[in-house]
Amino acid sequence: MRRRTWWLTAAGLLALSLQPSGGGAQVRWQDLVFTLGSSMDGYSGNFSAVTVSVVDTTRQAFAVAGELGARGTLSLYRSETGHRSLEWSFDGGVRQAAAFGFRSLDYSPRELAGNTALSWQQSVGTWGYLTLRGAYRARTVKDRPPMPLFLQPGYDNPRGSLHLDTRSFEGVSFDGTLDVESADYKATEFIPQLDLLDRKSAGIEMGARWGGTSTMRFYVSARRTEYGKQGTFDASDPFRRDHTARVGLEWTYASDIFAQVGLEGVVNRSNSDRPEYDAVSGHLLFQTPLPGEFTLNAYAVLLAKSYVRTTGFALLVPGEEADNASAAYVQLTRPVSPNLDAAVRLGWTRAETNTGNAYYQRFGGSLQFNFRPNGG
Amino acid sequence: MGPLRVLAVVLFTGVLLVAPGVTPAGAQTTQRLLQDRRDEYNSAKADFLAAQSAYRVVERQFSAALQELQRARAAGDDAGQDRGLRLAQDRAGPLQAGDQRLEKTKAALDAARRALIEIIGVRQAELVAQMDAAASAQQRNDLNALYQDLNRELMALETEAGDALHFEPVVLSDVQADPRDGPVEILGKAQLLEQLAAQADTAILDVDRQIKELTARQRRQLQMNDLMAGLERFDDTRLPVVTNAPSNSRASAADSTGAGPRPLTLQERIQGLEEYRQQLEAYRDQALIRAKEFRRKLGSVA
Repeated sequence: MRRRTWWLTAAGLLALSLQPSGGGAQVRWQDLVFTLGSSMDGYSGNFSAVTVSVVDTTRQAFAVAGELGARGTLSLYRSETGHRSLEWSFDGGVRQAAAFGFRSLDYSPRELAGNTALSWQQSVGTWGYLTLRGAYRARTVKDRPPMPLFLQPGYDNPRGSLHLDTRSFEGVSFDGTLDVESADYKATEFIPQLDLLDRKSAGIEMGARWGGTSTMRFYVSARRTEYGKQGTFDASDPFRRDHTARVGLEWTYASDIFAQVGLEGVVNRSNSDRPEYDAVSGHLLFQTPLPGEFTLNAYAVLLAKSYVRTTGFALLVPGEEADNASAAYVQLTRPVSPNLDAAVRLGWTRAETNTGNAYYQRFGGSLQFNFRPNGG
Repeated sequence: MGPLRVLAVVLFTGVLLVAPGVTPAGAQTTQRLLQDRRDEYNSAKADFLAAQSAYRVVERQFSAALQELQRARAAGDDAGQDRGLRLAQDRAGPLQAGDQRLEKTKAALDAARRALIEIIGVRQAELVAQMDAAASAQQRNDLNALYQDLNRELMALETEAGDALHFEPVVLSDVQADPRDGPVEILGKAQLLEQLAAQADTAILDVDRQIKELTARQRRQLQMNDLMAGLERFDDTRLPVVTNAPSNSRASAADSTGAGPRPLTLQERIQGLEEYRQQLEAYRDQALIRAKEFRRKLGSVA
C-alpha cells in the first residue's frame, strides 16, 4: 500500500513536471530536480557510537552506494502584486549501499530520507515579509552498519517557524526567527538507547544584515532543548534540559564569484553537568566559475568544543558528542545539456574526542547527475 | 447606416406597429437611457484621451532614456551606459502600464460607443413612429429635426469607430506626416524613427548581455543548491557530533539582491529583463514600420 502511494506520488510529480511552467499560471514549479548518483567512501576510526546496536572490531570499512533523489518547490499561489505567496517544497531520496571490510559480516544499508515543507509568505505593510513555515523531515535506515561506517539513525522531525525579514532601514535590514521542533528517533527493541536523542526544542534568532554585493550579517540566538529521555542523575531534576546561546558573524560576497565565511560562538549550559560546553565553529562556502563551463563549489565546516567539566568516563552519548569535528567538500560541476548537470564531488570528514583519543574519519567521492525537466 | 442599426430600427418599428400607441413614458425612458449612455460615452472618451496623453509623456521619457543610453555607448562611458539602461528599464514599467491602460480605456470606449449607437437606433425608431402619428406638420418637422441631429451624432460615432482617433500607442507620436512635407522633411522623419529603432537595438544588446550573465549566475546558484541539498538529503553533514546542519538559507543568500522590500530572486530579475526585452523589440519594430511608411511616402513624392 505504502509502495503504491509512493509510485502514485512519483507519477503525479512527473505529470506536474511535464506541465508548462510559465505564462502566469498560479501553480507552477519554481525548481524541480531529479538526481541520480553513485559514490564510493572509505571509513576509518575507533569512535564508538552508543546509538549503533552492533559492534565490529575493524578500524576500516568502505562502501559503494547508488542514490536516487528528487526535490522541488511548487508555487501554489502568488498574488498579483507578489505580496502573498504559498509554496510547497519537498526533498526525498533513497540511497542503497554495499558496505565491506567488517570482521563479522558485510552490510547493505538502505537509507530513505524525505523532507516536506509548506510556506506562507506575506508582506507586513512596507516593513518587510513574514514567512510561516511548517516542515516535516523523516528518515529510516535498514541494515545500519556498525562504526566506523557512521550513518545517522532514523527519526521523525516536525518543525515550525515564523520568520521576519525587514526592508532596509538606512542600509541595514533585520531578520528574526521563532522556531519549534521535536525529534523522535526510531528506537527499536535492539537499540532502545536511540531514545536518548529524542528532543523538543524552541529557539529565537535575530540578525542584522548590511552591504550590497558584499554583505555582513550579525546574529544572536537562544535555544532551549529538552531531552526527555536523558537522565541528569539528579532525582530532583531528573531529565536533561539545555539552554544554548549563539552569536555569529557571516560575511557574504555574491557576484560572479560567491564566497561566504561564518564564525560562530556557542555556549551550552544544562541542568546536567556532563553536556555543558563552549564551542566555536566556522564555515566556508565558495563558488567560482572555471573555464570550459566548469564550476568549482566548496563547503567546509570546523567545530571545536571545550567541555566545562571533564568526566571520567566516555561521554554519555558518545556517538553524538565529540570534541572537534571537520568536514570539507569540493565539487566540480559542468552542464552536460541545457537541463542536465554532472558533478564530481570529493568529501572528507573527521571527528575526534579528547577522552581516549577516539576518532572517526570518512573520505569519499561521488558522481551525480542533476536533471531539471523544466530547464535551469 | 450599419446593418445592426437597420435591424434595430426595423424590429423596434415592428413592435410599435404591433402595439400602437407607444406610451410617452416609453419614449421618456429611451431618452433618459440615451442621455445616460451619452454621459457614459463622454466619460469613457475623456478617460481614453487622458490615458493617451499620459502614454505620450511616458513614451517621450522612454525615448529620451534610449537616447541617453546610445550617447553613453558611443562615448564609451560605462557608468553612463549603466545609468541609461537603468533609466530605460525604469521607464519601461510605466510605458507598459500606460499601454495596458490605453487598451483598457479603448475597450471601455468601444463598449460605450456601441451602447450609444444602439440606443440612438432605438430612439430614431421611436421618432419615426412619432412622426407617423404626428398631429401637425410643425410637430413632424420638429421630430424630423431631432431625428437628423441623432443621425449626425450617429455618423460621427461611426466615423470615430473607424480611424478618426489614433487608438494604437504610437512611437514618437509627435512625428506625423504633414501634407506640406517635402522629400527632405519626410526623409528626416524616417531617419529619426530609424535612429530610435537603432537605439532600441542597442538597449536590446545590453539586456541580452545582462540576461546571459544572470542566467549563468542562476545556473551556478542552482549548482550550489544541488551540492548543499545533496549533502543534507542523507544527513551527510551531520557528523557524529552535535552540530547544527547547514541550512539552505546560506546558499540561497546569493539568490537575491538588495532591491525593494523583498529581495528579487535571480529568476525574477531574469523574467523582468525578458519582459523588458520584448517591450524593446515591439518598440523597435513599431519605429521601423513607421520609418518604412515615411520611406514609402518619400518614394511616391520623389
